[in-house]
Amino acid sequence: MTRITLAYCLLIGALAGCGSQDQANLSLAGQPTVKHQHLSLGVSESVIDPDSGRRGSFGVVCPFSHRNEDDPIMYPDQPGASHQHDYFGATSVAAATKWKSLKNMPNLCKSMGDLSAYWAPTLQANLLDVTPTEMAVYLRTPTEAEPSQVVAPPNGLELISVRSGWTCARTDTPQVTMPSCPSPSTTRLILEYPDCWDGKHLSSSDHFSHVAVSVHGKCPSSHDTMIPQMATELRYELKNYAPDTEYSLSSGELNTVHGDAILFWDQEVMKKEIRSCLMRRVNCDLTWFTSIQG
Amino acid sequence: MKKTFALTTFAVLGAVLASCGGSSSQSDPTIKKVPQDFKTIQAAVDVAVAGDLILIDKGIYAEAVTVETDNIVIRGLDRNEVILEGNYTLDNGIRIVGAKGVVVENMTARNYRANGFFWTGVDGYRGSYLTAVRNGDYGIYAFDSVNGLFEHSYGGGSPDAGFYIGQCKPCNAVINDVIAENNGLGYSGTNASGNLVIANSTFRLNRAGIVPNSLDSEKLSPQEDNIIVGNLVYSNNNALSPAIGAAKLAMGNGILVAGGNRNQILRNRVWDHDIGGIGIVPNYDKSIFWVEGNSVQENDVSDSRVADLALTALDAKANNCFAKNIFATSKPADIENAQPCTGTATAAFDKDPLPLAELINRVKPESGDLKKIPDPELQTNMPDAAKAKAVPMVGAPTPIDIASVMLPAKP
Repeated sequence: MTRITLAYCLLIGALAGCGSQDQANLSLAGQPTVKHQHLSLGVSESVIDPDSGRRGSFGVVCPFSHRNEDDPIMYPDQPGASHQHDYFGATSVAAATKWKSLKNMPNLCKSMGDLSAYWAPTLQANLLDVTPTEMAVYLRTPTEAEPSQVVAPPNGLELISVRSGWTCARTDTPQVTMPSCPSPSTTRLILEYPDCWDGKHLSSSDHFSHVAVSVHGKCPSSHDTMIPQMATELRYELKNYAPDTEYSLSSGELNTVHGDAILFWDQEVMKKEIRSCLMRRVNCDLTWFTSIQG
Repeated sequence: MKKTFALTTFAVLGAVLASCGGSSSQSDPTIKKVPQDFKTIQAAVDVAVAGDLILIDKGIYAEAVTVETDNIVIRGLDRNEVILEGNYTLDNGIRIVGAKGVVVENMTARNYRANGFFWTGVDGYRGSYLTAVRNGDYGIYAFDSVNGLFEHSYGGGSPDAGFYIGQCKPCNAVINDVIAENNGLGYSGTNASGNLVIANSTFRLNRAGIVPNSLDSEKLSPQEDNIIVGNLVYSNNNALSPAIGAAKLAMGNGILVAGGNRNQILRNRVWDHDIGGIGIVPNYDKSIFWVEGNSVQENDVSDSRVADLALTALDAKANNCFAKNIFATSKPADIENAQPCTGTATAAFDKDPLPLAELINRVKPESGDLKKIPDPELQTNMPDAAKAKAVPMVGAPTPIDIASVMLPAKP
């Protein structure tokens, strides 16, 4: 088994809900084989669901904060070890950042509850960095799930995206390839994260084994704690770039796209949003609508 | 005698229940007083039942209230002195989440990071005698909600809109007798369609005044079927107002239909705009939302630097029409003969057209500082706030008699 294959198996195992013993054994197999393997279950859902009935959600907009070549999940305490990342929300995240420090770290997210750290590789146009205008975070009831199953994720939970897609409009279904969005619409990169948790571990050595992805509204028995399905939407204004611009990421080709997060919320706020918005199947925060054409 | 005693006891108990909110039951609506009975508005809301009146005394309340109970009325005793204070850290003053018929009246919400007063996912809403100022998204707004009324209210200093109704069809909503100033947009209504009337109100000193619009960002596009009647719309060129991108884009326009259809714009007085008094233009998102069937009649429009009346439509067959307006300039030229409401066009559809691309690309001032927006002057209180009956919002608002709404006089 090649190391790449092993990494893939680790991912599939985690997402399929491998037993914790298996995960522990597998996680001993070693560190990730590439700086950030491309991990994807496919393309994200549309961030709103035009015809699927009422599905509760809440959200927050987190402006771009800073960038560096650190990654506190993949390369903790190793400054400069990563490809370049763009950070949103918490304002001084670096390699040495631990989740408990987020509590008192200034945070740009426009919410009274969200103190999380979010990051993703830098988009590059003809190899020059493009700064996103902001990132929107959506938290919603997982697809086909009963909202009563959803609980607040713990502070410190590490998540790495498992699906991605690009769109020009929130009502569109994201696609694998980056579209050329007609001016003045915003180019949007959607990243989706696991929505099932093992109920015990904030992280795991392979960065995935502690979480899984729900299937038809159910979490696997190994990861039976359902948390809100989180999607982040990175927004780029690319209308001033020429049509023949070649886009890539600081992590490599566009297919190396991924997002990372260390969650830290005021737990009372998170619980209230789950109860008020998800349980009542209401779209609660429209702050992420307001930057359209911004 | 024994029976009398029992009755007296019952009566006393009833009085206690009526005055003590914490003792209410499902069948026993009461008045719940803040801070006398409950220290916070949220505490009163959390135990309220349908029919309750939550009566808030003068004071500053640093709260972000969420309402989940149907048919309650939340009222301040003094619109100018019952103040919800966001301190630029709290999200919404009062947020009604999926609860039917909730009424909020006679108070102020200021300095919230998101919104002053916000209804989402509801059937039945009313905001009366409200003041919202310096809130980070919207002042007073309803999303994904139907059967609503905003009246006798003020929305100022929000970078998106002072008043906003979004994503509803049919909305069955009325905005009546409000003032919107110092906002990005006075009114914004994305994909808000059907039986929505904006009447008898003032939209001034915003980046743009009244802007129904279609966007891909919300469901139920395109925007259609609003009636905008009898409003004063002036001097919406305010570079000092906070503004999101869309507000900058729309800056300098009084009434601007951006990608909407079949709206009626009647008997409004509109003046002093850097671009247009009343404009009907397509909106560009991922989709291009063209405009058709809009009707602009009997308005008095003056002092517009580009055109008093303006239209950019796909073609003359789109049935946008202009008639009986008082105006001096238009693009295209001679607009009432180029796009008449009755009869055959006698002027060219495309002569001296609106230079839309140039206007879109015109550089606009960056957002002003929200925190520098002043409080409004003292606003009118609701009558008899202490004793007026609590009336939840059930069903559609009382229709406005459109024919009776006249062109308002200049103030």
